Amino acid sequence: MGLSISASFAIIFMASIIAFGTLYTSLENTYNSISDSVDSYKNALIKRETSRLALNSTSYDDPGSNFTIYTITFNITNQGSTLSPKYWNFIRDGRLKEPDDSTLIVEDKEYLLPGESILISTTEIKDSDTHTLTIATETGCSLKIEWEWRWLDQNQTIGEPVITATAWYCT
Amino acid sequence: MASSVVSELILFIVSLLVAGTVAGGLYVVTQDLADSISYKGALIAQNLKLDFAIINDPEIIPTSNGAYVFYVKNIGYEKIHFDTENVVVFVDGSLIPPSNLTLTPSILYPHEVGELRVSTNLTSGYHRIVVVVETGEQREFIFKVG
Repeated sequence: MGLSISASFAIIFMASIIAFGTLYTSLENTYNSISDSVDSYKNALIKRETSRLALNSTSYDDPGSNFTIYTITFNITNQGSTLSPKYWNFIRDGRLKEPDDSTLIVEDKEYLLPGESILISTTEIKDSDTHTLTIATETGCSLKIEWEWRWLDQNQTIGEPVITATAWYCT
Repeated sequence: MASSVVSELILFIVSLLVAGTVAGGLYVVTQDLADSISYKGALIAQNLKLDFAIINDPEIIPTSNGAYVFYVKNIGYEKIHFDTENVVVFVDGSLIPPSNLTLTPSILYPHEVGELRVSTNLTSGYHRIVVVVETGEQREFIFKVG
């Protein structure tokens, strides 16, 4: 009788230890996995909350009154945490556009540190439409710039692009 | 005397069988619990790492062949299954049937942008699109048409 109890207890005891080990391993792995994800989530949230781009200045290149196009260059300053321009996307007049070194030129920078600036140039037609460029960063926040070409004389020989609005927003 | 040994032996075997059954049950239940914890943990971890944004210019939603084109950017650390089986779209609260959706590419890797084409009729004014992905994560985007 005594041997039976001892053997039974030994079996159940061993099974309990194995069960505890299995549960512990599973819980530890899950905890580590969730902990890593929470860290990633926190980092992403902090980066999103602290990211901010602003239009610092603009310049333009008008090839002359014989040409119907002009190039406008935006000087964008990073007023927030470090960003990676290689992960940015550009939406010009509503459509996604890849930098092509021609009609949309983005200065080659791996990182944009706080306070640093980047130049983005785009070519546009001298029309009366309002044009937009939206710069979507890797955080999901975007800088939108609106501008239009304004003639300075009645003969429409001299003109310049004028910024009509800028907005920084997160979706 | 002999009957006592036999009864002891029977008792011993029965007790071993009972203990073995209890241990087996404990193992199965524990394994099931451990698997569930791992599965749920992996889901929570994936959900925390998954993030996306609709990056359109809210004032100009482009159209292509009569469908409104939305740009969905993966801003998380996990890939997103980007097809009609895993993505659900609501516009102004109405479910858009999968047949009216076109999604490319089928998988959105981190930092990638996918195109979501929604074939629907919208009047001029403000509208709201809600995109729900496989994990239940959803993003809302308010935009203007016309």
